[in-house]
Amino acid sequence: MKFSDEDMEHLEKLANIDIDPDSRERLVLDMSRIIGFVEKLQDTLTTGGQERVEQGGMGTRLREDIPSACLERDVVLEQAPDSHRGHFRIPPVIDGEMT
Amino acid sequence: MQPLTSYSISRLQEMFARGTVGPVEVVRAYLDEIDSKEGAVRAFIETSPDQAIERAKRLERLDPKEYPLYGVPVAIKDNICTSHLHTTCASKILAGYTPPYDATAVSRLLDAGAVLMGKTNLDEFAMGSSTENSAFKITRNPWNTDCTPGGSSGGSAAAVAAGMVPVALGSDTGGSIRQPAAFCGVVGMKGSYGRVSRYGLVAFASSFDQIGPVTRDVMDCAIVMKVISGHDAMDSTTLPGNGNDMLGSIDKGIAGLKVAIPAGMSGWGMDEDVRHSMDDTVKFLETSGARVSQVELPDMDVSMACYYVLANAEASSNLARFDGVKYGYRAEAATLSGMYRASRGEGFGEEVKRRILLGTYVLSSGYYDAYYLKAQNVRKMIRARFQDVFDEIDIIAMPTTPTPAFGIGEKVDDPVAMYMSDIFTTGANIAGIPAISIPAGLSREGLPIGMQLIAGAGREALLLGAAGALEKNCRFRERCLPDPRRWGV
Repeated sequence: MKFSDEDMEHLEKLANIDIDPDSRERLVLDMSRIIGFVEKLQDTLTTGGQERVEQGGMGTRLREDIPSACLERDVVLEQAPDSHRGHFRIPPVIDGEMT
Repeated sequence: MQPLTSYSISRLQEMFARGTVGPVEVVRAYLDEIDSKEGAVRAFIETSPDQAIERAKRLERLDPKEYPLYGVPVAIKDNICTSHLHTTCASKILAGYTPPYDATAVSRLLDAGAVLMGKTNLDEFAMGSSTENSAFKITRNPWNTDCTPGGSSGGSAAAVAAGMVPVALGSDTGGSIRQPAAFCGVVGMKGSYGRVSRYGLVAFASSFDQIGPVTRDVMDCAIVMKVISGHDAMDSTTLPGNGNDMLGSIDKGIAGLKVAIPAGMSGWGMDEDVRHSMDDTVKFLETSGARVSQVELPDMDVSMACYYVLANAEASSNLARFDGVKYGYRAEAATLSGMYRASRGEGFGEEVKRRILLGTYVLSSGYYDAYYLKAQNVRKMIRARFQDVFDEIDIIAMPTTPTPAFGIGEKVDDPVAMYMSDIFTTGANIAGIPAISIPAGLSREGLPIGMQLIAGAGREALLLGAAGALEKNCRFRERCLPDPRRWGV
């Protein structure tokens, strides 16, 4: 199946990744080859419509809902690129100057 | 006297218990090895000599007999969280990041008396088969520094093969412990899915990922597996119980076991030397009392396609967390969405982007049924086939890889060719079953060849017993060691 420039633009938006113009052409070609490679799944006869294969076969086992210690806020914020008064700080969500 | 760096874990423990040597002396000996070889092998992203010596000094005040890994130097793949060392996943997006906690596997090693020596190189976010995708350096194969050590746990395998540490942790999503172990002539194992906690392992594909050991021999592997295995309240997918029966069958050998060889292996692009090694393994199995038969395994091409669809779908979701907000690299941008896109575009390397894009593609509207859902159903079939096989037999034996280590740069321009070096290993991850690679011999070019044994879910003890028997027959470490002149030593 042909993977096009338009497909790449769509995926960039979905995956929130800017693709560098210099590597764009090669990446489109790589994607075509990789999609061609996984295409052979279509030749395999399968039955059923189960969406998720459960690993381990034990079902989901939940912990008791008991409060326990968690990471300190300051410790977590130490690794943040930007923080302000105990919160993560981000650029404006919509276009415009931050006030 | 043998060099201190040549002793097995059990032998070291005996020496510590008798007081003939102490942890500081052993740690210093391994630090000297790292100093002299790292320039050529480039296995580590970060080493921690001062912390290691401090830790060894503290251990000297404790009783060796109470700690199964007392004074044992260990390296950790750099996608496993360590609270006192950076954890970068070999990615620009996590450069300089120090996690606020230790992975469960790391805290279990520390509780057992191990000494952390540093963090090893990998393909960025464990995505790759050669350790060439690291944002920081390319690791070299200690047997031939023009060759890759395999990947993604190439730094861990190279460090153990070069004698810089006796033990390293790796992670295995589609063969990332076993393939580099095979390329570097060391032992590498992944347990059943859920055997080792994934808490603190930076997630790539959560339904495939497992942490496991890279060691010089099977006994060391079993000792480390025993320490790191067991249920963990922080990972709800861990198996119940302590999983500590790793040494239960270690001396039982292989006589009486039903061992199967996959049918039609010659059609998988197998190198001639690898085929000879496989033939020798079959001869050994037959003469040592194993009942050898052939078995039809799921089509390996289809398994690979299934793996790449599902693993990358999971990766595209797992790696969404790297967005420049909570930790890691942030690019300057005027808006939040621009910051997300620029941070991820500048922070991730090419292979990681390829995989996120593929994962996003197979999960996107219009392609979900044809790729993701289809691959889930294929996975179900593959698992059922392995279950049927292990109802009849005990062990599958096959090469770990179709060829020995390939050259640096040889496959970087062809992602599909790179993916195919994992063709024999992904099946165990798809099915969630334990598998081990042990060194079986050398190719005519002097590169190690790995043999892989696979067992049914939960049968690690049996697997380690069979691997121990095969190892005794191969006598690899007695016969073959990499030439230190390659490292300028």
